[in-house]
Amino acid sequence: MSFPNPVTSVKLVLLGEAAVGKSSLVLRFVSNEFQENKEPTIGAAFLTQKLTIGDRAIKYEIWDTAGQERFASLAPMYYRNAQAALVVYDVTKPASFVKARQWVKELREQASKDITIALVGNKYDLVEDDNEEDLVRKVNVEEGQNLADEEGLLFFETSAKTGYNVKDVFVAIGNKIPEATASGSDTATNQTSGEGRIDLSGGGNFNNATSGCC
Amino acid sequence: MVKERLLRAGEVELLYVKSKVYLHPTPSKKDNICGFLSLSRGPLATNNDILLSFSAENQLSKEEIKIYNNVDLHELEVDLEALQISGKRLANAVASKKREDHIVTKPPVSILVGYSFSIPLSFVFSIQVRKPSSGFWHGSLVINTKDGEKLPILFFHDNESASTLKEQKIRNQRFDPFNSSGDLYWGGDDFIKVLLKFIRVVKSTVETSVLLINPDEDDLRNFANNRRKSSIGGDSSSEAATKPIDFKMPNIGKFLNNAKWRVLETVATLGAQTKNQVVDLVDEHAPVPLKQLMSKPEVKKIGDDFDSARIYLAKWAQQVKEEAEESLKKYMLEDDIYNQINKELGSDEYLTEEEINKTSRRDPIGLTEWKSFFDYSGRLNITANEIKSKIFHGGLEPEVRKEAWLFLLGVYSWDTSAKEREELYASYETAYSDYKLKWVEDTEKRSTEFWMDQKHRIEKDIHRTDRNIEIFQNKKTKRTSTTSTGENANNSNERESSPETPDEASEPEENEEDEFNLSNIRNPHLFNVREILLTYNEYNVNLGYVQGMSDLISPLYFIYQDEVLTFWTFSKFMEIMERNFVRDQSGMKKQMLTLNKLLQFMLPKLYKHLEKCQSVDLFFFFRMLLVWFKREFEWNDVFHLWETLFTNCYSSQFHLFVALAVLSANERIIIQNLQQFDEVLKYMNDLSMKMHLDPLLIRSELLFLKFKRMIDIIDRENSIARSSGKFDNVVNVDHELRQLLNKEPIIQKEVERPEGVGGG
Repeated sequence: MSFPNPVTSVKLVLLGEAAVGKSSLVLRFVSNEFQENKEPTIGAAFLTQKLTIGDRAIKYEIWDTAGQERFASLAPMYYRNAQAALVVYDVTKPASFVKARQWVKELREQASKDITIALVGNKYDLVEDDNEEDLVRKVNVEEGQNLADEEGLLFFETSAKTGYNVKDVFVAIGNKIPEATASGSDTATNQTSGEGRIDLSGGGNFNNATSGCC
Repeated sequence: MVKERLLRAGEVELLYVKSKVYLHPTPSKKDNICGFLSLSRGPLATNNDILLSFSAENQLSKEEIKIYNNVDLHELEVDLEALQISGKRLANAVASKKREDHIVTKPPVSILVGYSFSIPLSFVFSIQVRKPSSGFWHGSLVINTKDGEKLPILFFHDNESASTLKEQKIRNQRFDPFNSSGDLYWGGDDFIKVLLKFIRVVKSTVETSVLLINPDEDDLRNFANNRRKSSIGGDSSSEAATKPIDFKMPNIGKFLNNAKWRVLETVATLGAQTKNQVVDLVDEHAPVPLKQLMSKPEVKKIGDDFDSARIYLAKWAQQVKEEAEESLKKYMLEDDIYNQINKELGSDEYLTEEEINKTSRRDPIGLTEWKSFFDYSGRLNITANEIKSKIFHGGLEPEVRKEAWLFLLGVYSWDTSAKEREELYASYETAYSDYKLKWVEDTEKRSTEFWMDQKHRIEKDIHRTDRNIEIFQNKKTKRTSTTSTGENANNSNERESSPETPDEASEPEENEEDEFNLSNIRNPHLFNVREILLTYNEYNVNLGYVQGMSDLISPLYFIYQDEVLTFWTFSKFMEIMERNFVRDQSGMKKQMLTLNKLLQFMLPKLYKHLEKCQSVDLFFFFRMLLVWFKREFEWNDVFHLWETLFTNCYSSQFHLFVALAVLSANERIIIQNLQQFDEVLKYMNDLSMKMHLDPLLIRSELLFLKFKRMIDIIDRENSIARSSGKFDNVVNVDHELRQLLNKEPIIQKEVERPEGVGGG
């Protein structure tokens, strides 16, 4: 590593209605991939990614939650200690924007006070070619921007499909996170090799474990 | 059975044959002479007397050509093993009977008859190995005799030889096209391999392509001076033959093997989207010589099947991984697995040998066996418990599931006759269409916000569930329901009654999903799944559709591909799964809690470690328990696991023992390597699609048996304590743990939906 600076860890949670593209945003950010018809998330997925912004190395620890109402009661477990949240809606689905509003409210009431929230209108690729008669877009940029201004949120419209603005969201969040939050002592974190995997190559140990596993 | 007999005089046993070996007496192709290179042994011959022969095809009889070809194509593997044995027991081997289909007339023992030749190995001084390369299209062998004679060069026409082609194909399929010296496999490799079994071969230090056959010290010192020696003592040479072979292949094979393991280790730590990562990994981890090999034009040539060396390499790495895991699996399924798990669990302290033996696996039940369980009237002639135990210990063949799952899920009870089941089916059919009509005919209901939300949820989810399975994929061409079979025609009639039927006339001919109108489903199977889920939403009004159900229904639909049977199996399945989906999550919480207690009871050391990692909420099991490991195992394994769980053979909550087995199998690695909450979580999440089901099922069963025995022991001690008045010694076993011994499914129904609460 050419960075002597300690790695800053950011615990980040994604919230939003089902099928707005939460997992796809994460997949784009972590692996720069897009998967059509990505399966619904059950429970939550956990991924990590490292990013260098200027001279800072930031490790994102991302909780990608299931969007469906039934699992909403689990959300507090994920945002409880989160430093940042992405509240995602689908620019073609007004109901998803209503839901986003509720999530912002819940976060303001329940999550830690200094949590950084980004409001993200996803599926921008679908509205790129909108013409005036036939609007696919159902949530205007202004609506999103207004909510963000009222609540003091970062605001982006993104497309996980094309990659538009995706990295920018995470960079913006990274910039809002104060320098090296207590992760200097966290050597295990620093050794993590990036690209969303935990480095377990403890040599022989892993071999043993593999054979013991199955 | 292959007949065996003693060799007669003038006959030899073929030990090795390579077909399509050519002499090139002139530069003109049409003068090439085609024949067989062989090693053969006559009666009472020592290894030194083994004949190295070239027999021109045109000098052999048809029958003999047949024998030669046969030995070439089919016997290499077998023979190599047999040879090793006979090498050790030389005296016996010489006198023993030979396989009749290996016996041919002894090739004429002269140096050269016509174009054929034949010499004993003891007369071979050296063999120069010329591999195929850019200069030599055909690989060849140059044989020098002890007289200083040079025999005609043998050219291996690999592209014509059936055995070489076969071997190459096998190697390519295994993604292991290299021979043990790290070069591409060619026809001469086998010959050298066989030769090494019989005689001492030393690689020349001066010219490494030259192999010295049974050399003496002088030869080794200056083999270049090869015009010497005319005879060699029989005694000393037979002794030499039994000496260990000095010749060592270069170590690149081992190197490759090590590399394999390095790649494997790293692959195993990765997340699910391995495909791209494997490519990077190989770049990082492939040894330098391997990379160099991959850039050779010959290697690229293999890749007619592959887009590029890079992809080839990636496939290789993946193959390595599978291969290694396969062998691991095999190893684990040997008897050793029982010993190993038992030792680790310490179960022999708790379990009798008989109990442990009971856990051994059987073959899956095939159609014939399944049919044999029923008498002429279609009634069982063995007990349901016997069948369940068989299913528990080996599962079902896919073609049996269609019928067997109806019993396992309680659509039909085990004691019905075929006739009764027919009647039952009819009533199921009616009941299904009644439920379906409830939403089909009620336009008012269908326009409520709740109903439309539910429909949207279902559509969203079925469009993204198991889309890698063929029947759930969109066809490239337009749907052809009009030309389909009778059964499908029925379905489409039924569909016309459904208001959700897409307007086929206006359906565009394209493969894309309509982003804005999910309701316009073009795949008839997805369409059926939606109809079933919408009907279930009606059938179980309180619960309705909840995310996760699309995962539960898709294997069922895959089996039946029929609305009625899928609906009823799904409904029955949902009876036991309903507690996973209730609104307040109490069913899931309770199972997680039970698992937590079970973990403390059974694996206290691991529990303490997880406590340190703040991971005792066992949150990573949420998904596994919610959809019964559907996302953790490969498609085919899911069926096997579920039918095992359906049996309730030991416990209606056996899935918690499967979860415990997952932890137990990873106990050591977790304790040794993982320190933090997110590390544990990520590790457990990433086990998805990497676990092997069979060993895990065995482990689960043993864990259950151990658990049961522990409870028994505690109960026994308690009753002794009570009877002797020592009430302080009585140990209380938690109610939830005791309930794990119960085979009756736990049913928890959803309560009525409160006013104003949405579905989903």
